[in-house]
Order: sequence, then C-alpha cells, then structure tokens
Amino acid sequence: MKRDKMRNRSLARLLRRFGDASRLLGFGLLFTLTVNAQNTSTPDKGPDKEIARVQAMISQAKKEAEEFSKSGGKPEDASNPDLKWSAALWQYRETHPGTPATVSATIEALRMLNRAERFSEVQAKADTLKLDDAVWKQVLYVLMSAASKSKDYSYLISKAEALAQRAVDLEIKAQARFNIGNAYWKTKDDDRARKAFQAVIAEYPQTTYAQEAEGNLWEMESLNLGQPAPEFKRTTLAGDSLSLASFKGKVVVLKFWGTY
Amino acid sequence: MVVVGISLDEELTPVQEMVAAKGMSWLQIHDADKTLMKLFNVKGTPTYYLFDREGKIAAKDIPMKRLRDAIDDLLKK
Repeated sequence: MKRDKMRNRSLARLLRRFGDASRLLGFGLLFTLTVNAQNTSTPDKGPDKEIARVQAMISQAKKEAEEFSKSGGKPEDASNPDLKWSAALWQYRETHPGTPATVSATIEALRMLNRAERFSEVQAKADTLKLDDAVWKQVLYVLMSAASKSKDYSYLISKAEALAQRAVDLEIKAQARFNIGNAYWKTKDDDRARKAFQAVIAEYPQTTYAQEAEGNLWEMESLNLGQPAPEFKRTTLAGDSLSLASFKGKVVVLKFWGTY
Repeated sequence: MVVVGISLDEELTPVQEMVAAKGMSWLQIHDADKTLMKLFNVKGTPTYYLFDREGKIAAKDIPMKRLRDAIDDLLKK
C-alpha cells in the first residue's frame, strides 16, 4: 500500500517533468496521424498497418488523458485531450469507411466524447451511424454508460428501439431489446422493463441476453430490498454444512468473489 | 455478524490456495456450478449482499466504500 503510494508519487513527479515534452510529442503525433488519415489508403497499405496506425492514436490519447487527469484536469474542461483525439479518430472514420481499423476508431472516438461528458455530441455522432453497422454492439455500451452518467435514458431507449426493430444482426437486436429492459429498470418503470426482458426471452431464446433477461426478471420479482433472502444450503470448503436460515438473528454479508 | 465468501471460480485449487495464503478465516463456499450466482443474479465480482437480522435483503450491488457504513448501520439495529 505504502509502496504503491510512493511509486505513484514519483511517477507523478516524473510525469510533471516530462509533461510538456510529451504534450509536444502528442501534438506532433496528432498532426502526423491526422494528415496521414486524410490520404485515402492505397492497396500497398495492408489492414494491419491501418490497425497499427489507429492503435498508435489510441495509445497516445490514453497517455495524454492519464496525464491530464493526474494534473487535475476535469472531464468537462475544453483542454481535455479526449476531445481533440476523438475528433481525429472520427475524421479517420470518415476518410476510411468500412475497415476493421474504422471500427476501433469509431468506438474510441465515442468513448472519449463520453469520458469528456459531451453527451449531446455522442448522440449527434451516433445518429450518423447506419442501423446495419456492426459497430453498434460496442456503441450501445457507450450509450448505456452515457445514459447512466447523465441519468437520462431517453436517447438510449429511442435508439435501441430503432435497432431492435430494424438492425440486421440478430445479436444486436437482442442486445438492443435487453438494453431497453435495463434502461426502464434503472428508471423504475418495472412494467416496461419486464415486457422488454420477456421479449428478449421469447424472440432471442438462444442468446446470452435471454439468460441475463431471465436473471433480471427473477431479481425484479424476488431480490428486492426488504424481501426475505432466498434460502440455500451448501457445504463450506472446511466441510461444514451451511444454511442461510440458520443465521437468523445475525447480520449476514455475502461476498461473491473470484481468484481471477 | 456472519461473512460468507462465495467463490465463482471454475477450479477449486486456486480458491483453496488463496483462502490459505490470505488467511481468510470466514466461511467459504465454492460455487462451481454457479447456482448461487444465478440465485442472486450476480453479474460480476466482487458483489456484496447484506441481510438484516430477520434475514431480509438490506443492501445489494453496494460499492465497497459504502459497505462498512451499511454493515455498521445494520449491526446497530
């Protein structure tokens, strides 16, 4: 613990010292990468090269974002490096449609805008994506996160509704319907949430979303605050038998964990 | 107060090793078949549930930093 703190402190010192140099480097790289991004790709540039270029942009952006938050920058600041990198990646998307590198550029651009809390810009950009774009799988995660941060689920719900009806990919349709359920559940509209989860189970029974929807319906019915905890009996690692009911009169903490 | 650790690992050995290495003295269950995970609709680890003295659900999906206060409140009741 102590050692971690010390390491963090000396890292912060180091970053302060090199902060200006690396920021300069960042601008240089941004410039080069953006200029390169404007040249449309030629056949001798393989997809690997494009992926590497986008990855370089993303990792430089991450470095700058870490530095920015360490030096006390707030997400909503105009100087948040996420904003310029988001713009650069989105420009890459527009000049390089339909490649694997475009997919990561698109998602990262939206994630960065979301981190910078530019929710209306996230929505405006998401609106330009066609409903049959494979990128929606990850974009829905970003929209869910944006909705939860802004406590406004209306855009997510309307977009997910359009996807559930008109997307081509079955997985995305299932995911969209499932997200609608979660959004209504979060906003305490349990009737609509239940309907959406039931639709996922009925229409997409083979997907993992159907299993998750089953779990959520069970939780809505039986795991609310104030309800009696469901009873279970098991054997402990030490070999003793354990029943939840036997702990009546005591406060119980269940901790689900894993070594992974 | 009773603490029950429920490990969602597939394999038993790493669980036994960590319980021994970290000296986790509280009750431990290995939920290899994920029935408890399903029973409590657990989506990730760590996840905490708190039950009051009557066995009713007092808290769920509670972040670690609020856990201690929540337990203290329940113990006072």
